[in-house]
Amino acid sequence: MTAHAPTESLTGILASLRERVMGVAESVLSTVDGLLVVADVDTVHAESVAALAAATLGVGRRMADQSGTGALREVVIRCAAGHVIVVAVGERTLLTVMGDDGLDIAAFQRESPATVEQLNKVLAADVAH
Amino acid sequence: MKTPSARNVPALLQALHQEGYTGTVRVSGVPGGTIHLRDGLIGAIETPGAPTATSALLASGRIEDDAWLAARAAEPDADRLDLHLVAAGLIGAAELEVVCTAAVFDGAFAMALSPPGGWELTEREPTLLARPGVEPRPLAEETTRRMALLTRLWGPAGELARVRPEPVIGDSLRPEPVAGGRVRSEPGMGDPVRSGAIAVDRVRSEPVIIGEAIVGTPATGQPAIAQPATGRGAPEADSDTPAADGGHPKPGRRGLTRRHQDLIESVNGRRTPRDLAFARGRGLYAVMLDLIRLETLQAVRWETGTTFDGRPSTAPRVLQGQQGQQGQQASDEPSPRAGPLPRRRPGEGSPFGDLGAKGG
Repeated sequence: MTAHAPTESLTGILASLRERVMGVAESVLSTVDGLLVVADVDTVHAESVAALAAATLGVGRRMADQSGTGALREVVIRCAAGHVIVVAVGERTLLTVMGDDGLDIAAFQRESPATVEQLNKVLAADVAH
Repeated sequence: MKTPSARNVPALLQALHQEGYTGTVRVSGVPGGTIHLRDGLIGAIETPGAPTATSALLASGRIEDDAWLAARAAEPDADRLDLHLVAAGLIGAAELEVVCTAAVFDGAFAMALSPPGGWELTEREPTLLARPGVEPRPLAEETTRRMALLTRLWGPAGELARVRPEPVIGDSLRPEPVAGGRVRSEPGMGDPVRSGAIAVDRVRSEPVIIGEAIVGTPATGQPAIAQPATGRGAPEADSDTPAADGGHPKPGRRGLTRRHQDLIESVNGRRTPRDLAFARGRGLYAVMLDLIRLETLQAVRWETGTTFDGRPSTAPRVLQGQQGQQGQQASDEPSPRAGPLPRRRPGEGSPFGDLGAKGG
């Protein structure tokens, strides 16, 4: 059932990221136009996060552009009790990761390229035909 | 930066202690951490594995975020922030010392849960410090004691750190838990060791204090420092002091203290003990002890061995209560050596990729 397999492996990739990076609590994969694809969440409202992720990354890109600091890598939002990170996954999707105060950001930056690559591979099937 | 030739981190800290070192030790590894030394004493440990004093104070709500930001603005040197917090009346000096010292012990414990990588010494980085700080030897001894205690109560601490407990539904219908539970609360037991660093650490290994006890202090009027009066060594002494909760368990779940109930509310099948510690602003070690107790009381449960590890652990396994009988087990239990090890064959390269390739 190819219709279901990609969803399962996408959530598997998100869950695996949570396992590998200390402090990752929840994550949402969404499209650049703000629609939810899959989510590994507990308390946050996935649709709302998906919509805000698109806005966040869009603003981040324009700010990077405006400030002439090169291509955007990711948007890191640091809060009193945690972090939110938004990173682009290819051209069409975004990954939002929410973590606590102790989020191992170094580990996240080490692991995220591989996670993005895995997500990209699965998502590539959407446009393969 | 020069790196003294010490064989491990405790030995390094001991050497730095003797030379009265002030600076930072960055330990790599998963998760690794940062150890802040002042005049040879350990003032703070920052690691993704356990909440810092700052995290504990803010997550527990002991200090309001606005007040915190104002204090940070008023005292730019974080090394002196503790003095400012006390002077501003945000927290008492003794209470802050307890929280900061507890965080040092908890950070050391968290870092000991996984093998450290290398380290490097860097310059002093201002941070919120325990005053005067902790000597390396009692820190190492306490970490060893905690590991041993968890191993005795439950099993390998490294495995307990990876469990993801979930609440047991219908828990409130349980019979009085104390009656059948293996672990009972006996606040009277234990020897009142109170001297020197151990006493401080007793205070501190009541990470309880990090969380609710301190938060509750103004209301109950109990000085936080009163906590260490409980004994040492027994789980109940470490995790279940009635005084920590003001001795008023809610009626909802009989036998469970407020602290336990708060923990159960945070348990959701996704969070590890470390995640729970951050969520509640409590110490990792205290959360682990509470989880062991709650599992005994069948208020939470977890499955071990189903984590998303990617590969099985290669640590030697010893079945509880069966040491010395391994001979009889051999045919029933899988031996740690049962699985074939990866082999290299000539011409095939390493099974783990081309790590040793020359010249690309």
